[in-house]
Amino acid sequence: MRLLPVLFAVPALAQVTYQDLLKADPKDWLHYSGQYHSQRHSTLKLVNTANVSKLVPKWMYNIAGARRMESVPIVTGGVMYVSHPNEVYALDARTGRLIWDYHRQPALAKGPNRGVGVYGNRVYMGTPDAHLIALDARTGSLLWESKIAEASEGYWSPVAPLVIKDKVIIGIAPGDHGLNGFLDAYDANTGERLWRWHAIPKPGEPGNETWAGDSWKHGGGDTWLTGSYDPELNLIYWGIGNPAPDFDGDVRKGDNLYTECMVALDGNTGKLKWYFQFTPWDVHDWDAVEIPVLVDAPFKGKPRKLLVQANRNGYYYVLDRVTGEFLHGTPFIKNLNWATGLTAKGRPIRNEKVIPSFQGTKTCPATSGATNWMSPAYSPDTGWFYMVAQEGCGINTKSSDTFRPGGFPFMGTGYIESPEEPWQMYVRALDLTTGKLMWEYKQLNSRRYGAGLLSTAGGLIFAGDDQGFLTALNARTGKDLWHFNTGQPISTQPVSYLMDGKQYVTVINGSNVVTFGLFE
Amino acid sequence: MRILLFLLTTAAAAFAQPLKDYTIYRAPSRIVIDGTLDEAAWRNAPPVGDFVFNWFKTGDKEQTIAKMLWDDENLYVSWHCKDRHISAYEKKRHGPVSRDDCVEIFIGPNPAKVKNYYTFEINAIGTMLNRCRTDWWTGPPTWEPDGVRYRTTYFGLDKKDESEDDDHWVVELAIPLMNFKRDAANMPPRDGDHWRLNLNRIGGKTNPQASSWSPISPPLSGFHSPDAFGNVRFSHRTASGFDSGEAEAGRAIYNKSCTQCHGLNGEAGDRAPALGATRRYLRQTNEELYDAIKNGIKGTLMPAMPLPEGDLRRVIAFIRSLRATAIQVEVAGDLARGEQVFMAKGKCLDCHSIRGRGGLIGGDLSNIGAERSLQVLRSALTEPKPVAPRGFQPVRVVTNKGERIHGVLKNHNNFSVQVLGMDNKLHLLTREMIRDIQYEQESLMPGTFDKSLSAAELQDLLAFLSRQGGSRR
Repeated sequence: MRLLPVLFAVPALAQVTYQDLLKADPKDWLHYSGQYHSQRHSTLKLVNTANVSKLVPKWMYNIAGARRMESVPIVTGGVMYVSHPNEVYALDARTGRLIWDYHRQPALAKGPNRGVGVYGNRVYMGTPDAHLIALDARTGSLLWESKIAEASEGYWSPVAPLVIKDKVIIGIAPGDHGLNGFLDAYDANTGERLWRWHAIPKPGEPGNETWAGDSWKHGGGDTWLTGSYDPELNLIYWGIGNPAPDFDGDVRKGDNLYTECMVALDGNTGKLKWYFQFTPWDVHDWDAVEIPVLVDAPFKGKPRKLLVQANRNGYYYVLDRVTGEFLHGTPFIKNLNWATGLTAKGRPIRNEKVIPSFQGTKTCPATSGATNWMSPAYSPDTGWFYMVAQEGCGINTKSSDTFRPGGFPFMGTGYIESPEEPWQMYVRALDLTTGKLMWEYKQLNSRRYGAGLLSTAGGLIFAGDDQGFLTALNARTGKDLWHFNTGQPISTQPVSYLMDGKQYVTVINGSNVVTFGLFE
Repeated sequence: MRILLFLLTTAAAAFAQPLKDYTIYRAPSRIVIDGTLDEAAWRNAPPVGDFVFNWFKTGDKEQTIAKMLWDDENLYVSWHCKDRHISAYEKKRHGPVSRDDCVEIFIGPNPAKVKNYYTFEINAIGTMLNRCRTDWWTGPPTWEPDGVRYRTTYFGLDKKDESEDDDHWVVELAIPLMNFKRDAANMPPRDGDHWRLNLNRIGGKTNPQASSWSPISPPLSGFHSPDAFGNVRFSHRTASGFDSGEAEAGRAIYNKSCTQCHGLNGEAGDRAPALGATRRYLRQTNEELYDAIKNGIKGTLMPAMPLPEGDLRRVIAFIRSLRATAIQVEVAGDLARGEQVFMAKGKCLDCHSIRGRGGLIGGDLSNIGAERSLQVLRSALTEPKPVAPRGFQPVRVVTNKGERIHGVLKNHNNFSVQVLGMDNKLHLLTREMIRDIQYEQESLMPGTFDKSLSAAELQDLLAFLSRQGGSRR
């Protein structure tokens, strides 16, 4: 085994230290969202607006049997780690050749999986049977596994773990089954659970009064998308999912804390530092899990530590991430009918008519969301926030529902696309602090959400789409400079890394890992 | 009147049992001849009914469930034989298989000359005997039909001895219809064509019984009695899995019992969904519907409904009828005249194709009756469509060379456009080749046939469209 690095001619697999995770050297892609602040901005600029037209495919790797993958690759020490439910593939990042693969048995059929975390010599992954597992990064052997929750109750984890210091932070899914969410921290070395924060407060705890009767018992509020971390404040920022039953709010009157919130948790203890609720008493399944992006920037002339989020409910929010104070909010979509605005505190002023009904209520944005898990990006070069928006409406219906243990939908019915306002995807650039639209790029004929963004110092925004295209846009103008048809819809976000002094861009489409570099 | 008719036709005693009748529906999907009857086509096909034990003395009357289907190429026959003593030994082609546990079909394609008939006799281990008992046959006593495929439960065994495990055995048979072309009026048969045939079962050691589908009454005796053959009619419909009379009775029961929540005639109601809609959570099979009505649907407002069993069955038939495709239901109108309207006055072939003829931009209608309900067909012909479905959105392109293209949009994005033109040609254009592109919303399909056609013509056209579909291998 010692010969392995020589045989494969890759750099020796260096241990990933906390310093590495903090620094997030642009030659690697160490976190789900690139860096702790989740800006998804690579400072690499070997590929840039001047030469992006020379970008060509360098290699592809097929994950047999996969479809609509939502995984983001992690790259470190010349190795790319790609996850699929129950599976991890370690690839030579230069050639796409397989080094090892791991297949969990028995393999529960639940997806997607959004990626791995790395630390030391370990690769961490959440599993369909609700475990956090650690693999040896050099061999793929299983080092330990920790049960997060009972899979038989319906819990599972699609979440790409967030590693901070010597802890692995991981959440669970899905709130649509009426299972109450929580966020866990595990010892990165031993797998021992260190703390758990419950997203739905129990009787006697603050916030429980926001749930009518016993409705908190199956309140949902899951934690299915990776959050961000501020090492200086030692705060974890995590978006919380929707309340259950999703569309029938009659049985859970109240604000339903901490569903649809951004929460800030102490990294050491998991204690709640602050929360901000985007959609109190949500009845449209607008999970607030969208990536919180941390930026230090002047706000109204004063330097602030900001947290911004484009929320599934259609509003773009600017918060103070030290205190959770609401600073600014504005719609980032044109078609929004469920609220008429936000109060000074950021609470929505609701249109009481836009509530799901037996016959169906036109709801804009649709439940699929004004945006969703597709990652946004922030470029410090332009000072703009880039995101993928879905315009259009849904018809939302409700009916009574009963919770059933074992992982069954507890939705109170659902939604369809509005025939009059069909869905259409856009890439939009927003001014960071005002949310003003700087440009938009219509992804013609792309209507299904899923593909997110990568910003690079080369002045580029890379965007996938439902048509399977990876497109490079000029970050300042939104003009498309290059595109490639990968052949399958893209439902995840691109990453960039450096090897042998060459910059690569990788995106996963339905079932293929596709890596691009400059033609030479 | 009925008795009089039989006196005339059979010249038999008044106690003669009436001949049986059966409708042979089209197979809605491919049938694999493997000796298992697990295809949806077989499940939905109605059985011919109980076999009659014409010469019964003592023993167990073990029943046979027989079904028939057809498509343009084959007549399909299946027998499911309840049998606790199964034995078969004859391996020789055209051997005396009727001494073994054996099934038979005797087919008279010409009802006016029923004495011209063809026989297929198959034992449990898969040996077949065929005869061609016609006035034109001059060959040997046995006959070699073309392309017959069949499987039996014990197919290929050297012998089958009786065993304690014996419960039932199955025969699945496909006979190419061309074997009957000398005696059949039409090949393939047309909607409503009338043939005569009988299905038989015989043989075995323990409890040997002889039974037939259509009864054989004195003075007739023995299976080779073409005058006793039952009446079968070929239908261009596929089997619906429900009876249309029951469905109509079920509508009345439904409108009395279910409309507190559901809407009248199965429409959406204040508190419950439309039952004809295509929602993935709707109960589909008869069993699921039965369970939902009988026991309610947990976690919803749907309560258990205390309906008598017969009413419950009728309501299920009604719900199934709401979801039936056009080919599964009775449609008034004249097929031949409807075809004329389709080809000529309706100008349907300008845009649509049917079995390889016609235009391309409107899509192929060769299977439309099996894909759409009658209601959807009618509204397609008579209602405006402000938003064209995906793949049929009209588009007008002007290229850099000044070429004007009018057609429907097959696909597009920011970089290229794929248009199927009114000229029935594909126009594949990149962004650089396009000077101007105009998207239109409204479908090119006229929704005005209730005005451009007479009521009778529209009904004939609907009848024709409704019968397009089913298996066409």
